[in-house]
This record gives sequence, structure tokens and C-alpha cells, in this order.
Amino acid sequence: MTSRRLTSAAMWAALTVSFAFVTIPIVAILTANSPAALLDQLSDPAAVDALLLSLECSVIALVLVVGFGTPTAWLLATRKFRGRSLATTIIELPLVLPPAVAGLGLLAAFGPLGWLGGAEETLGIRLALETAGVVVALVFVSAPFHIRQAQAAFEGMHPGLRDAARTMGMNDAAVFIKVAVPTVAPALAAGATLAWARALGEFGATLMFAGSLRGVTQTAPLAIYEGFGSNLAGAQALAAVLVAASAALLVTTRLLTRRWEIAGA
Amino acid sequence: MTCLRTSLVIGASFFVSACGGSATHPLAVSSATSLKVPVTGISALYPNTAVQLEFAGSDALATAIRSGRKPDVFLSASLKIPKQLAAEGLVGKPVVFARNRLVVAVRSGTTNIGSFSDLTKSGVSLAFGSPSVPIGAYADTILGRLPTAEAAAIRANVKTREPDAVSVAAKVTEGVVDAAILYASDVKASNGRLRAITIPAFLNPLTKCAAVVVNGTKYPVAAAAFIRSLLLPQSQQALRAAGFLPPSRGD
Repeated sequence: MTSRRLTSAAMWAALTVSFAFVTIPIVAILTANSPAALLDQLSDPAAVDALLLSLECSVIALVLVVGFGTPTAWLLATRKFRGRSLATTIIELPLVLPPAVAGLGLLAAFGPLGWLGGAEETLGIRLALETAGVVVALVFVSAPFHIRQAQAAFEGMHPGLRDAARTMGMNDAAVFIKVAVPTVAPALAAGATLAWARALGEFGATLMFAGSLRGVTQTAPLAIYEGFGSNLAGAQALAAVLVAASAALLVTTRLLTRRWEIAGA
Repeated sequence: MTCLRTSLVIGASFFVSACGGSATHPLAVSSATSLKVPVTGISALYPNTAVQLEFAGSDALATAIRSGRKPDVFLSASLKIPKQLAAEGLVGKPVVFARNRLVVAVRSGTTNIGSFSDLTKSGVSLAFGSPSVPIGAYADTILGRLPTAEAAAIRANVKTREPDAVSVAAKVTEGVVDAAILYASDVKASNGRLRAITIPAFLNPLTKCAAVVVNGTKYPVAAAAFIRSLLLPQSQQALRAAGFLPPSRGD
């Protein structure tokens, strides 16, 4: 009995430590400046530019991730083809790649001296140093968050649903659009929200591939890093906004996932 | 279990013997990334203690010191930053141990930029350090010495402001930008991948690299000894080989 009570106490202690470990830095960021000072720092035009650019780039990235990622996930979930498991692994790889590796990879592929650099120049496309380059970096790192979730949701769909739709004469594309997507919509939204949150936080790949220039490529995380060297209070104010945005997105993901689980059950 | 216990005992005896010597603890040295090549070489050969190196932009390292994450020694790519820290009572008196020249760095084999005045041409893309890091602040100093129209033309060509000198150099070697304002030593460190174009002397600010003992260090004597060693002939030779200039008499 005592030993069971001890174990239980140890587990609660572990929970307390885990909770405090994450909570303390977050509270420290949020309370680093008085609310008045926080608002003052956020009215700085450079901070506003960074936040707006982050919003713009992450929303565009999200649209691309959902647009390309959802059909990708559907095929990976429903088709049996050679190399499917390899394809899944490769598509998920950015989840675990260090952002610096992603940055090097994007430069080697899409940089001016990279594989496709010559083709880009011929077509008049510029990615490095441009806002479009930020979007490329965000898509690269955030896409697997959506695809993984969408693939799991499609795989978890009752097989009877698909068969029923087929017997009603629907082709695969119609099944995808009219049956599968509406059925797992909350799960897709949860994956998209998580991808959005990851895109908002992207730092290393953006800096290496796109650079850092106010209003063009300097997203909020890059502005935070620049502020670390020159304006710590400004950096902390931007960090507080990112904490709030990330928390809101995470809560949204949880609520959507719960809806999906209830609907699925 | 026995094995574990044995290794613990061995570990502990190492620990004891390590603490028995006078100065065998490693010295924590935070250095500007622009000093990476010579400081790594000097530290590897430093006879008194092991040296643990950390590299970042001088401004970020200064913020770390202000936030309480203190090394024993701080090596800055500018004199201004350690002077500010000294005025705040966070570090000792700065010791200038090297100087550096600024140059326009271009990728070897490229020809579209032949002189400093080519930086004003439209369509040229440039990388600068961010305004708070010395390499970026020096670039801004140069623009401040130019006529307004020329300065504006160059500023319009600046497409990225990077957190430290190494990141600036990478943007040129990767072909992302046509040119950058960098230290002469950065071009030397690129092993031929970069080529230096002279910046006229009347525009070129005198850059000084300064070392300070961080106040509150547990090893002030070892820290001061390390800084003194930077002025010894063999250290100065390593700095010169890396493209730095010796401190001038007045420093």
C-alpha cells in the first residue's frame, strides 16, 4: 500500500516538474515587460511589419500545404503502390530534419547556384531573398504536419463508406471530394492548424534560404533573433505574441481533434 | 552493477585529480564569429588551460552577458560593444588585440562587380550584417560617409541583413547575393571562394577587436592570462595569417 502510494506521489511529482518546466519560461516571456511596455514595443513599425509578414507568408503556405497535401495524403492512405511506404517516409522527413539542414537543402535545390537555379533564372523566378522564398521554406517544414494527420484520418475512415460511395457510381475523385473530405474535415482542420503553427515558428530554414530583410523576408521569429542583439524588450514582446498565437492554434487543434474523435466514435 | 560502481570510482578519481591542479578547469570564451579561424587556432595551442569556445554575433553575445549567461572571456569584433558593457559594470577594461579592414566580398570567378562604386548599380544584390552586429554597423558607417544619393542607391540593393559575419559570407558563397561588405579576414577564411575588392581608405572605418574579462568569473586570473596571451607573438602571427592587422600603438 505504502509503495503504491509512493509510486503515485512520484508520478504526481513528475507531472509537477513537467508542468513547471514548460510553464516557467512561458510565464517569464509573458511577464518580462509590463502590458503598457509590451503594447509600446508592438507599436514599433518593424514589429508590425514582422507580424504582418509572418501572417501573410504562413497563410499562403497553409493554402499550398492543404491544397497539395490533402490529395497527397488521400493517395498515400488509399492506394497500394510500390514505394508507398518510402514515399510516406520521405514526405514526413522534414518533421525531424534540423531546420539548418532544410535551409541547406533548399539552397542546394532552389538557390541561384542550386539544381534548379538556372531554370529559375530563365523563367525569371526568384525565390532566395524574396517573400516567395519564405513561403517555400514554410511549406517545406510545415507540410508533413498536415499530411501525416490527413493520411491517418483517411486510413481511419470506415472502409464501408468508400465501398458504399463506389456502388453509388462515384469515381475515386468524387469519393475524395464528396465523401472523404467532409467526413474527416475536423481531423484535416486539426492537421492544417498544427502545420500553420509550425509555419509561424519557422526560423532556421527561412534565414538560410530567404535571408532577413524587414518587410520582405524578416518574419516574426527572425525579428526576434535580430532583437536579441539590439532590442531585447522588443524581441520579448514579439515572442509574447507568438506564444499567444501558438497557444490559440494548439487549443484549436485539440478542440478539432476532440470533435473528430466524437464524430468517429 | 560492479562495473557501474567501478566506472563511477574511476570517474570520481579523475574529477579529484582534475580539481587538484591549479588551473585545469576549462576557460569559457565567447567570441565573435568573424574571429573564428584565429581564435580556434590560438585556443587549441593555448598551454595553460583547456578553452571552451562559443561563436555568435558580438551583439548576441553581449545580450547573453547582460542576461546573466556569462563566459569567462568575451572577444568582440568591435570596441564599442565591450566599452558599453564595461560602462554597465559587466566586464573589465577592453584590450584591443587586433584590427580588421573592411572589403567588398564577391564570389571568385564573378565579374559583375569590379569596384566599390559598382555597389550603387541597380540590379546588384547585397548582403549586410544586421545593424546591431559589428559587421552590419560598420557597413552602415561606410554608407554614412557617402553622399546621400550613393548611400541610398546602395541601401536599395541590400537584400538581407544577417545575424553574423559567417552568415553574410555564406550568402555570397552560395550565390544568393552578388556581394557583401565583410572583413578582409572573412575573405581569407573562405579558402579562395571569395575575392576581396578594396573599399577606399577614406570610407573604411578602423575596426578593432577587443577582449574583456567578464565580471563575476570564477577564474579572473586565468581569464586575464588568456587575454594577455592574445598579444604574444605566436597569437599575433595566427591573427595575421587569418587576415587581421596588429593593434596600433595607441590601442
